[in-house]
Amino acid sequence: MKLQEYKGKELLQQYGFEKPDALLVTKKNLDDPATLLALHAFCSKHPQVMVKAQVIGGQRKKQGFVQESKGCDATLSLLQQLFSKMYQTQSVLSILVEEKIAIAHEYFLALLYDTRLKTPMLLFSSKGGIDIESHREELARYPISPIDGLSEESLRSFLHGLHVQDAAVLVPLLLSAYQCFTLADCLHLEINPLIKTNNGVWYAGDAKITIDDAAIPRQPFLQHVQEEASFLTPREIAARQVDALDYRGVAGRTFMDLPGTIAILASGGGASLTCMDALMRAGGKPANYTEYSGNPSREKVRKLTEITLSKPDLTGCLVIGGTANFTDVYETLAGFMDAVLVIKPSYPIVIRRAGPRDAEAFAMIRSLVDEHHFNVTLFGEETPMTKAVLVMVKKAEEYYASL
Amino acid sequence: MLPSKTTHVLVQGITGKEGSKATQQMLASGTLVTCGVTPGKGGKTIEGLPVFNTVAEAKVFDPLLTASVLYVPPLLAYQAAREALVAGIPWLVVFTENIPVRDTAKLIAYAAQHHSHIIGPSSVGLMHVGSCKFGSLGGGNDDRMYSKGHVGIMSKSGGMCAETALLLTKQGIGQSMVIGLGGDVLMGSTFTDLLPFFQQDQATKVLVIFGEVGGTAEEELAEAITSKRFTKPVVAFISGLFVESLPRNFPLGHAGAFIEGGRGKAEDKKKILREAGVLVAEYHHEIPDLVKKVMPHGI
Repeated sequence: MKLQEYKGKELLQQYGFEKPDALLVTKKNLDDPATLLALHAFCSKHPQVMVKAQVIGGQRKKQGFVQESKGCDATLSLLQQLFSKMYQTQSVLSILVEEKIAIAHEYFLALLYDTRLKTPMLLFSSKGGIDIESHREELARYPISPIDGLSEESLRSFLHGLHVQDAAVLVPLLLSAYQCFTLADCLHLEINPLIKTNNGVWYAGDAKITIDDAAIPRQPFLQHVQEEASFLTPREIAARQVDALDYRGVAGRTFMDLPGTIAILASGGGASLTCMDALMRAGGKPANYTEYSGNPSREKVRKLTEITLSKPDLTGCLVIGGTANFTDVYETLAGFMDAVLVIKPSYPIVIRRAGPRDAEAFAMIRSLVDEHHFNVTLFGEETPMTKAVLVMVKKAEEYYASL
Repeated sequence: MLPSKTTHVLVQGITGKEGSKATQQMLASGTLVTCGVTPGKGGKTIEGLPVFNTVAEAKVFDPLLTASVLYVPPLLAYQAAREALVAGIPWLVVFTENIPVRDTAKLIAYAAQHHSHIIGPSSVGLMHVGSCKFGSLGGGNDDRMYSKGHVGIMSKSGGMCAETALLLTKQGIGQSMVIGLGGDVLMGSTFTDLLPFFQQDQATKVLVIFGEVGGTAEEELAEAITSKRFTKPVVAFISGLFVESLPRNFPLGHAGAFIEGGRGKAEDKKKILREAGVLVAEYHHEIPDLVKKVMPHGI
């Protein structure tokens, strides 16, 4: 889970990092009198402020999502302007207004896992700020033993080797950052810039933090932090509701709307992605991505199919998966056909599936196809998955040409 | 040596749904499972095997134990694996998914101290085709997908171990050893870590790799091949084109499959592998044809 800047700073504050005086404004509450009063008070207290859209991603400043402002009126109109903009595919739902800090020096620090050494790694630079990406290769790297952690002495000699001026302050700050990284189960913790001011106070100027999803159940501070649903489409929200229907299997949790016209119902993580790669390589355009696995109920698959096929102007539907170990292929394909019987698509449907009760499932589909004249092509384990994908792309193209 | 048919193996989490099913399947495939561990369930029997509360007790019962397969819940996996390492078990196959990376990092460091090996987390297991298996490869129908032969397989995806073997089997090409490495951010064993076992294995003539966007395992493999630490022909498929094309940061696929600062892209991995002499399949179903190209004559 990627934390928004203000949540990241709240977390860092628990580990001793100062954050600038700030006011969080949400799009929903922008017009409330209380918000306007608070903004007025904040801008009177701080003549110069930074206005920072709370979106996930890099280069916010370069793209105008972080700007400087003066006075309540100008700040308010900047807020209104930012709330109406899109950052990549995210709408801006909250904005952090911060006092502007007088910067004496900017450092860069990041903690992450090094996949080669299989240990945590500290990245550090005395040249922090917005241009860090252009000299990422120059970052000093310090591998950390996951058993022994960081010691004061080792950090001091690391910084000494880099000829860093402020080692006396930086050592305890880096120790705190590592404590936060491990205790809060971060996958990535980046503070850029880490700001030194002339009056001796140090601030986390920004915070990019990714929490390990696998550790969320043991992180009490995150229990109430809901994943931002701000950038989900209505179909994506509906599919997630299907997944939450019961505890049997996964169906729709990763539903994603895409701009193409071939509807996708895939099974199995590695298999799904391998088939999506093949679809794209062959020039097919997916209308969505979704995956079901772990033996979901017939009802769940029916509902997920209804959502998947609800998009207008589809040119095909691909039901694809490997050889299931225990997912009941009859039950899940019956759920698929339940929805097909209601929607009655005229576009081609290509199914490739194998596993428990596959013969029964195929017989059931064949008899429904005979009765209702659906355009269905059935493949079992004799056909490689990605070959079935190529058939889908070709049939969808033919269907589109025939319209 | 990798665990094999004569290896005494323990199942941690043997009384759970996955653990008991896997135990049954391992026994059926000829694996020497001798006992299991589930804290608080000591004294029970599963599939005729004794269950103990701790690995230490299991080790007293069977001093010849040299492998453990772990089917424990993710937030308890660290303690369970630690216990096996302290008890001196040299091979851990960790089936459990969703183990926090912080725990995995510590386990990998402890394993190095104990000179033990970890395969996984999120490993579907290790199979000597036609002989024995450690984990859940093949479910209960090993023969439906796997056939004995000369192709070794290592895969970051468990499901794709089966599909890759199936492709080969349908073309009359058998397999020697198949290992699911798991696609976590930190892998107990990378392709490179296990290469020496495929190099030594007489039955393996060709190695097939299923790799993925993210991390550095494929790059390390290319380095090992270039520096002649592995000299048998290698065929690879790398997935990730779709994941990389997504405009948003959706958590899709394996935990390790993400791009950081433009590094670890599938196309870059393919290029590096090709430069090392690996045959790279653009479509997964091309793997058997590439294997036929490099398989030594007369095999």
